Amino acid sequence: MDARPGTRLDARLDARFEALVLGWAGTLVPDGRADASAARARLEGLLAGGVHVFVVTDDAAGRVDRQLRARPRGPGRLFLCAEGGSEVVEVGHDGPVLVRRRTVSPEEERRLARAAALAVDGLRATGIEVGPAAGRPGRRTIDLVLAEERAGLEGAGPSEVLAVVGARLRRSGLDLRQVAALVAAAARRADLPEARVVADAGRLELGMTDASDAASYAATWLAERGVTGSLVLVAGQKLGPHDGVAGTEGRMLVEALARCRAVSVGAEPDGVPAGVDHLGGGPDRLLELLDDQLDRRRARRVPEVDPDPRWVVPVGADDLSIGVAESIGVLANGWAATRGSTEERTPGSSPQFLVSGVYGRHGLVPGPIWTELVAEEPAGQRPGQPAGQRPGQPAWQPAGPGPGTRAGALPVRVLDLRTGTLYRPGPGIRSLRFVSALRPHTMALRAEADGREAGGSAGPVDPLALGDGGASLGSHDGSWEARTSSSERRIHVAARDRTTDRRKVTTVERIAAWSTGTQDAADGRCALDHLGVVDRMGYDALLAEHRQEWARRWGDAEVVIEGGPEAAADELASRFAVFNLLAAAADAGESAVGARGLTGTAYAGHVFWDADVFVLPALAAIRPAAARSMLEYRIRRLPAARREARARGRAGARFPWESAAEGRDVTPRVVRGPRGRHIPILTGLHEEHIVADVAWAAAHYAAWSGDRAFLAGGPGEPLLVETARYWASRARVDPAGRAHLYGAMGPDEYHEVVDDNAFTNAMARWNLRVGAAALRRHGGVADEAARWEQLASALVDGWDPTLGVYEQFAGYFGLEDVRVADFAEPPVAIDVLLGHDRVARSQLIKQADVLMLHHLLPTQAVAGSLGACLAYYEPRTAHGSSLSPAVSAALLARAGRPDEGLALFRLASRLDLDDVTGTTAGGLHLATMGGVWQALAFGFLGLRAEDHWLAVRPSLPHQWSRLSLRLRFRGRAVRVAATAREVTVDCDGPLAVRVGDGEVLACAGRGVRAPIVEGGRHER
Amino acid sequence: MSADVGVILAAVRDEQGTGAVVGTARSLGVATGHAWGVVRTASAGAALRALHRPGVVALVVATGPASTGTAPLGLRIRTLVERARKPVVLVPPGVDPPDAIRRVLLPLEGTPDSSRPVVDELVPLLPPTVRLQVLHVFTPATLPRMLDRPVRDLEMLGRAFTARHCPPAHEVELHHGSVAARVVEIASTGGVDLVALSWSQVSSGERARVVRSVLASSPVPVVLLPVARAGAGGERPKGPTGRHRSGPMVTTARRS
Repeated sequence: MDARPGTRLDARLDARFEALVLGWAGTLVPDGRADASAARARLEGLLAGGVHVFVVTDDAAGRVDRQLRARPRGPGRLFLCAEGGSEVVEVGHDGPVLVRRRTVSPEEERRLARAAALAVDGLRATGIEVGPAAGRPGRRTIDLVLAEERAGLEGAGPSEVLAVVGARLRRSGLDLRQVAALVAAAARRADLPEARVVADAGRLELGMTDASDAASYAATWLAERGVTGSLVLVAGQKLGPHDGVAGTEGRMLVEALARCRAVSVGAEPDGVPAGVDHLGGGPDRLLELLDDQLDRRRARRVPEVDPDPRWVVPVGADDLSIGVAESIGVLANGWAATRGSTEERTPGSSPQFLVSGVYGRHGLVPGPIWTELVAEEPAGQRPGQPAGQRPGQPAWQPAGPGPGTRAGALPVRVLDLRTGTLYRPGPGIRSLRFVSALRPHTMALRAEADGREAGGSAGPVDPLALGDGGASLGSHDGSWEARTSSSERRIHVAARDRTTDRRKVTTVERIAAWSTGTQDAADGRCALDHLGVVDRMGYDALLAEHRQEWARRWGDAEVVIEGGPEAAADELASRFAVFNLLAAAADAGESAVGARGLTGTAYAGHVFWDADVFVLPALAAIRPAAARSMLEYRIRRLPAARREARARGRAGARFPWESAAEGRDVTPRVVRGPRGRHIPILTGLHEEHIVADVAWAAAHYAAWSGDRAFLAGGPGEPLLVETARYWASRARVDPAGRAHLYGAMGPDEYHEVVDDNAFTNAMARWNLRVGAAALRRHGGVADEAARWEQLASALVDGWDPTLGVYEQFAGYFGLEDVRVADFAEPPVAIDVLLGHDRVARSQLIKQADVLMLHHLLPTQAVAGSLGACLAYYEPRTAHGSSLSPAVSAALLARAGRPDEGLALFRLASRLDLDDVTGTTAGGLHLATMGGVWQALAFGFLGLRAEDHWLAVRPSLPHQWSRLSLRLRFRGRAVRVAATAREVTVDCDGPLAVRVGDGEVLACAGRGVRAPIVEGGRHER
Repeated sequence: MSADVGVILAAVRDEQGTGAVVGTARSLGVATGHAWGVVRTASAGAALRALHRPGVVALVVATGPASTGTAPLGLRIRTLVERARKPVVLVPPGVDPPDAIRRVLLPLEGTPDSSRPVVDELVPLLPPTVRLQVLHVFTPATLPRMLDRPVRDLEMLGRAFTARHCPPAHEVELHHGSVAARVVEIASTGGVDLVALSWSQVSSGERARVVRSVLASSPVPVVLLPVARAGAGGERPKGPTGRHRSGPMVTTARRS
């Protein structure tokens, strides 16, 4: 059933569709009595290929089913959306099953009848003769064709009927659109404002549903599977209006299917709406389109992505470096990640495949690269071949740009945040790859090269490219296998390639699986076993479930920002951040989330406080299981943390500033400076607030997830107790009875070794108290708990009641009092500009330090101190750390300065997209992304987990008209949306919500709305 | 000597500085695999004619005793370097000739104009054994905005800088402050045998202040590479053949 020779498809149809929304009579079959075997054969073929099909009809589902007689086995799903959108029936191998029916209540029937009667009366009053409205359940039809006209119109087409009826209507001074408006007005008068009025050539139909309900159902069902917009083909035979009134099929073009490819195979005398291609040709033409789709499936053509500007990020379209593009194009699933390198080898490129937790002596170990494809040499030049490439050079291994070249020299690709895929649209090579979100050990890539003009065939394929020290293990039964060999833990990758040549297009499909371990044979077998399973499923099935899993993830994490083009850019940047957060950690086992996650090897993949304080709070709300796996990483390293404490003569557990596989401190102690000079690095010795940060992360996770068993005698409890024990042994009490932490380093690393850093002390104090509470709760030593509480109360925190601000550390106020603006516009690495020593002698700080106290422990800070501390410290903050802007944005919003916060929010949300730091090539700044989410949630929406409710205190910048976040709170799926005037909270079960200082509201499975009262917008 | 071996000429006028000039030419000749020779010239015009003869790769001249302070280029030298279409190596007074060329300091400002002559003209002359040490002194445009872990971030920035502006480099140092002072400081700490500066060949007024300041204090010879001579604008500098390395060593003076 190949497409008819010579048929040239419109460019918009030269694509692979994942779903079809089709009209029935006149579209898929000639009429309600015609033989449907040709349509059935095509549909069953497509359904077997994974395409979902929705047939939209006014007819009864049973009648259509009897005519079509399809009995598909999947994996594609077939739905009959019948009875003008009021019924959805799924047809499977065992026959039709009712999925949904819009039942019209007796009251609605009564109103429908009244609306129809009012409409008829109204029409007659204007001089238009119509008969009484005919009735069937949920629907009333007003026939505009008079009895005396009917005989003459027997066998006439819609345009002829419309011509007769329209001429008569015009004699009465009306057209069909005005008549339809009159009927709609009658429905409103009958208290049925939601009633639908659709026109046919000779009648008007008034009902509670129409094809838009069918299309909306299809759109929602498909969106839950990651199939949207241009991945959907909508076809009908009368998508255009009837004399200005949308016809039944025209209602299929709903907003939820925006960007779909819509075609009409009907006559369309009045033309088609914008965006609809008028093909004509009737069902035969549609069958040709279906044949083409079947052919694409057989040829394993590359699937596409929906280029929704709210969801896709261009990769390599700017002037940034290749490395930056590769970081932005990373695909990950929490277990493993692949950088966004091209399929061909490119000088200056850093392709990497990384697996969480697999560290060697120098950090994360790059695994075998599974994304490189090398083609056979074609006979001649290919379309899309890079300039300068000579015939005879491999089409898939073009003469690439040199090192340091801008990514603009690379093919522009598209990162689809909605479906977690990286798409290369061509020309030349087209490809789509993904790292399975559902199957941790699975990746897949499909690529094609158009060889029509060249007349040659491009083909694969090299074995897996090897990282440093890798080894190819050869091939087994057509699959490739390779492993790293530079570390004790090894990464094995096995892959199977399939090549298809069809219609001069060569397609290569690679499905790959990985495993790790230390014993070559057994671990290699493991990768091969994984491969065996997923290879049997096939690329399309893997892609379908991968898309669906991403749709599910976004269901708990979606960000919507409205308010114009700048807000749309903010939304996309926020979604980019959330996308990478969702991919940062596994939802089982343990997750070592390094500062750059698995998106690059900067900082050797080491785990910092970035994970606990910046990434985890976001995941606790949008993917709690992943937050739990991050804590599991810390729990499993408690023994190492205890050893670290003991080695320093302390008790309890001391988590290291930088951690890797074993949990010991891997912070470099010294680095080689210019001309061999050694430069000490002091963070590992002194930046100890991470000890309390880990405890804070555990408590935060429990508060948001509702997983109280995690702490109360559960595996997380030692994180509170052992860290408190550390602080108890670390603090020193002076003769006056005040406790101190000497020789610490706060988040502001410009001042390296200080006494009584306010943030560290406040965190330690909090840690001692929650540790004591945990001890008491479970019958610990009461004396020890009491001692901790006493020590906590004695710990100084730098609060200066005279100034109304915290002093960052002892002696800070005595330093040179200068502002960043005196020297440069922030953000700026002011230590480079002024020199380390000069900055250390001044009050200039790298990032929020005291203000981190307000961020992490808002209820522990002195009431009312946020505004004063912001006023004091913000002008002194260089934002010379990528962690800084988002936190400040959140705090500015909380303090009622959201417009100032927005500027810093934008800096944070664009940090990697614009390569603000110049280091994005080394990987994405995951902590910044966590900060972006926190700024949205804790700052602009003002969310806070109180003991008995979710607190909401929005503070939106003027450029945003609405901000909405989906998240999970204590087991509930929640959506919080705010405008300048009100808050709406939707949830899937009982939930208490408090907006501002208002009443606590019960959200019992339905949404609640609350106005925002003046004075309740920000903290006082 | 094969047919395509060029010549590095030491241009001498009198006995003043002859030893240093000749010694520098000899070291350069040995390092680059070219022949070296001596030409006696009394004028800038004659020196230029000698330089622009086919086969001549570069000219080595002394800057003379008057070449001190902020205006180290006398009229003869200024005329020579402003009109040269090939590299001119200047040997400041009192500078000893390098016994060999092992390390070349390449101050780059991070623009294609600055990088192209170095990558297109100088690097191809040098064998892979000569270490190329890039120095970048931050400008307002290149000053980093954030350094999370300063030493490691600067290392990444350094790698990105050399990848973009001088792929063959072995090392890169990133600094802030006066370019000339940093160049002289690094050249003075030993190990550097030659400083290479791209320049626009305009030395009047406020132009070429870095060139003049470096020449005033440099403890090693300085090769001036005319910007206009290098390839067409906008094109990426090509890396030299035979230089395959994993990446530059990056050093900084900041703590993490």
